[in-house]
Amino acid sequence: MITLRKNIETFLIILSGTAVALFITVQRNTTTSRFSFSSIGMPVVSTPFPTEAPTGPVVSAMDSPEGSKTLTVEALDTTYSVFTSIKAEGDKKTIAQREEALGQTLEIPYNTWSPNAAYFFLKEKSADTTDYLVFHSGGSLFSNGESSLSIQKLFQEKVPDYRIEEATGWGDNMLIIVNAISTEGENRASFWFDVTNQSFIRLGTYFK
Amino acid sequence: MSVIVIIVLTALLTPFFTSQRVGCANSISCKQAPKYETEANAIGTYNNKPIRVPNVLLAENENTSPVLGVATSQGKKHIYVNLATQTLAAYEGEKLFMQTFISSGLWGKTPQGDFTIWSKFRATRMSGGSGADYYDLPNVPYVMFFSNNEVAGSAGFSLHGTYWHNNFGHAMSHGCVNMKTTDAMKLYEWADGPSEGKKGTTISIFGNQP
Repeated sequence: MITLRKNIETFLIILSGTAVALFITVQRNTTTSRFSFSSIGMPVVSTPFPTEAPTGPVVSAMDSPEGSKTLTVEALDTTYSVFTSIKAEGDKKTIAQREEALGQTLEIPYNTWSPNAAYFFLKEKSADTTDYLVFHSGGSLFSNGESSLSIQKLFQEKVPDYRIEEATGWGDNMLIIVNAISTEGENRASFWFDVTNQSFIRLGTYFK
Repeated sequence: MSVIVIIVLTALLTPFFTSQRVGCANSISCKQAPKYETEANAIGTYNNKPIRVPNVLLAENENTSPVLGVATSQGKKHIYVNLATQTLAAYEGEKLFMQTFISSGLWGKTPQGDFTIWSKFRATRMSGGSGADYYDLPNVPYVMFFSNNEVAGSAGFSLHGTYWHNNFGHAMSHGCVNMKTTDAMKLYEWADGPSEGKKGTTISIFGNQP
């Protein structure tokens, strides 16, 4: 009876030892075990150092009045990129890239597009001057070889006794309405700026 | 006898002096009822100069004369036109549906008061003015004619899209309320014409034009 009990105890000890040996062997040969014994590494924390938060371009856009085209101006610091796109096609066409002086901005006026979306104009603004620049929406050059026309420059040359207060929008497909005041500051008048021949026509009606 | 004559004359002349003296905004609708009308590859006249007229391309599912607009909430629709700021705001109940710049009358006066839309046309022809400001414009898009007891529908005042100028925020019309075509389309699809005994969407026009 005692011998049988010793034999059973011996068998159980051997069985336990075999089980432990088998477990250790299996763990050593398995790389993806839930019960791995690999050491836990400390997370590596890099020391942060102050940097300027990266900022993307400031984007403004305006659809043409009938909705077929979009004008987009992207401003990154003092660099302004001007694009147009045909909505049905989606591809952006670069019309101009301009470096503006510090404190000078390039804005899209509400009435930027000509009614037939052939032209658009932008407002170039600084603390003491405002200019209006006209572009072909397809990027063509004007007869002077430039990609844009400066209304302010042309107005000073051709109508020296008045100064521009505002270019409000388009009177038709080729005429921009320019409101001006006499240099003596007494009389107000509206002009049409004809984009095709770059002339100014004084109007009897003042467009408020 | 003279008392009776005075009373009759007063009754006849009072409306003339109290009502708004508005002209005809569209000489075509002043002579005959306006209708849906388009013309392909047309040349119009604006400021007495020829202008290429955009064709009206109807989408497959686009009705040429939808009476009821699309409802976006349960409130009553109301359009406000502020002549002082040259802006339009459309509300459905308390909810703002859209707000934009418009161009009201420069060569002709835009009437003030509360009106309702009496007809809507996807496109129609408009003509008027004289001399240097003569215009004849086919395919005027998204037209919403309005009227009230003082301003008859035949006077031709409307809200509509505009392909001949882009000077919104400034008076620029012969009495109608000009809108960007994309804005007019949005409003046209939303606003109601008269239907089943109900009047169309109310339009309130107010403010002193600058």
